[in-house]
Amino acid sequence: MDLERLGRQFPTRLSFMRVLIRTMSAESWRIEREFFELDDDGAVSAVYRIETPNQDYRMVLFAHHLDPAVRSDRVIAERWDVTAALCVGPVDARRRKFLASQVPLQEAGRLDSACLVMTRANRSSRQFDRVVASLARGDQPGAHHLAEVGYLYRTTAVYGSGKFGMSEWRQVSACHPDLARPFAAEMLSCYLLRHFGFDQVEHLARRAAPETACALDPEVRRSLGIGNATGLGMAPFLINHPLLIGQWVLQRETALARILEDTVPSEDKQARVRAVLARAAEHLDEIEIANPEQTESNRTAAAEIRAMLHWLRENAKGLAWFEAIEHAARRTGLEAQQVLESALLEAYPERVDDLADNMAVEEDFQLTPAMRGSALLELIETRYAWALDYDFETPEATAVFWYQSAEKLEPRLGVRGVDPGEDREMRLGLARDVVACREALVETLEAFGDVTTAEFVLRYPQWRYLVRRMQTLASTVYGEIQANLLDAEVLPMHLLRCKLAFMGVTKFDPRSKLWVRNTMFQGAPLADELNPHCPDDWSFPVLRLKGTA
Amino acid sequence: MRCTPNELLALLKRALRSVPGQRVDGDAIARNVVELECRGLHGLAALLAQFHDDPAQEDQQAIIIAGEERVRVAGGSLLLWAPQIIDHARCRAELVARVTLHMDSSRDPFGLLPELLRAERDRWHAEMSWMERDGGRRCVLRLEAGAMDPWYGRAIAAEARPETPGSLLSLTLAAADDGKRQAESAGIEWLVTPDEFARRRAEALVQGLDIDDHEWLSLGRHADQVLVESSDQSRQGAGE
Repeated sequence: MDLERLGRQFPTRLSFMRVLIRTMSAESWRIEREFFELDDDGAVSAVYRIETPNQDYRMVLFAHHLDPAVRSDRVIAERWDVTAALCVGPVDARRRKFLASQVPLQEAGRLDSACLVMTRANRSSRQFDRVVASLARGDQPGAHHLAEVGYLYRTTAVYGSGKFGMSEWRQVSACHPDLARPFAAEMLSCYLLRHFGFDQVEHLARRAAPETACALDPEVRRSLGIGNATGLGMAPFLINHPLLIGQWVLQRETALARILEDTVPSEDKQARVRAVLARAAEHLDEIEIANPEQTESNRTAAAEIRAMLHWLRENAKGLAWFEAIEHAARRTGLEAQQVLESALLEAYPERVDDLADNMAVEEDFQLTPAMRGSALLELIETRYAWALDYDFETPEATAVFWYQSAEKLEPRLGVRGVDPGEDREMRLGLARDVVACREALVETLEAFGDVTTAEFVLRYPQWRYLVRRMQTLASTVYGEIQANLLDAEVLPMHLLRCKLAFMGVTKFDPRSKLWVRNTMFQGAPLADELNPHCPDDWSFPVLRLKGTA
Repeated sequence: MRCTPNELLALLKRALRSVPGQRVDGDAIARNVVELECRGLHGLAALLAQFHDDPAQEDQQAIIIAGEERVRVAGGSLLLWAPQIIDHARCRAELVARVTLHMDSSRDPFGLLPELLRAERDRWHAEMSWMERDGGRRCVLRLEAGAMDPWYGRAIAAEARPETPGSLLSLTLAAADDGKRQAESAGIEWLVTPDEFARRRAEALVQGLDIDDHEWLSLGRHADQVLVESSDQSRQGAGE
């Protein structure tokens, strides 16, 4: 798996947000406000009830007064505009009081196994007040403002899976079938934060000007997503979960392979692909971000997609999809190629959607102890040839190192020989370790003959983890993300975007090479639109608000 | 301290990164300790005692497989070297279908259990036998092929120590279809059944694990050793 290609991905029908919304629509989940107590400044608490065919959940939110001067998206922040928890079952006054004492503390709080997710979000300093002011005047927010910032709130962390006393993934997947897909509970929490934002701005507008205030137009609501800021913390997750990431990629590629089997796509299918591509080009053109490289990349991709649309129309007769893929590979950059793949998946729900059930896998690396050392060496030299190609004698190959800061355990990147902490670096230098492990194996084979893997790891216990990882991944289709994370030119951004695309986010806005802002659920159906007839067609969202103030 | 299994796992992984030279499969040991705690078998206490007794394993061969069926455990605790011991047992059992290893230590015998559970559960029956310290009785841990939890019991009558010199614990691994298995249950008082272990696991998942406060703090001190103090300079390494 090439890191740069992974880092150019766009969301697909298999992205977790899309899958969640499909499930919510198909099962007519009901979301209703159960408790809402806000003062004039937007503080205090709200509870939303989520009713599914299987279970009831509650999203409990606490909005706070926050001095804009202390508002920060960093993990190390101590205060936020809103904090929230997704819980199982009813929340009465006593339970709300308990949650009010813990949730606002975030990492310093302790929850229990009835809680599935804990999260927090900050207001968009540009957008939130502007929207409240517009509504108070009786106007809808302006389209150009929505293009600039497509959300009211921006999440800065979404915790689940057993953290801070909450329920573990094993428990969630076993006992809560509604959320038994990777990150479903986390995505649901983000969706509900978006919903809460709508209620809050309308409430504040009504309080400010009861005579003139209006509600958000449904079209405007749909155009507003929930923002997200993601930093380096996501990078170690990807490196430490190769089976899971490989499984996600496998499902995506399986979907594509199924579509390529349609060697004579109908005019309807071709028209559908072209429609999504046209929308994608418009979507990319609409994105307004500060990062000049990403802006240029978006513009280039949009132009290439339009050229590809022209080619698709010209070659519609007798077109096979593999020809389109090959054309894109020859004539466009990685981003346009990835958009084409996303568009193909959009056109074939009947071949794609069932694969969403295969996204979970247990991250367990099994040692094969009886494997001979010579076979292990061959495995390394074939499946990990990409790692052996790095020259770790050059300082550039290990110029940076990763470590965990004592400040909220935040993963950080240090410069070797300059920053303190390289004696405590995290184990993310996979390529370097593969090279060292191979050297130890070659020495062992020379000294002791063709020993078993068990004998090798007995001699070198420090390589047992890596050996069982390599042996396990050798039987997978896609294996490791092929990159040296210690390289001077490493771009963690690609790792972040890879995972975020699987989540379903859009509008990647790199703020540096270490963190990125993006938008979730933009264009997604609203809570009162969730029913089996709700169109599942909100990829590459574009604004349709030309007439607004 | 009440924590979730995942919280304990995260802390253990960090603590094991602090082992000098990292001459252990810390990831596997961390998982093993959590598996033990989930079954009420006090893996954390065993690990911390090992840290206390022998924090630097750097320059010594940790275990020695002498011949094919004798295991010398330099550090004493079976917990720390369980991965390699079970690797060896599995490797031998591939060849001979039934293997018995004799170990010169019976310290933390349950430490071997999680690796047995992880290793191709459908293929092997496993049985461990050791003498309680201070002249106690013979203990037995039996794991049926395919099972997720073992039987644990103790001989009803006092027995003589095993005849194999230097053997304080024996581990037998036999292929699931090995007709010679049929280990007898007569004379053994079963103290914990598989159902009871399964109940403990389920409860740990829902209720969390109750960890002794001192042990939690002690583990935290080890885990903190791999953290790097924050500074304005280091914050730049997170994109500030």
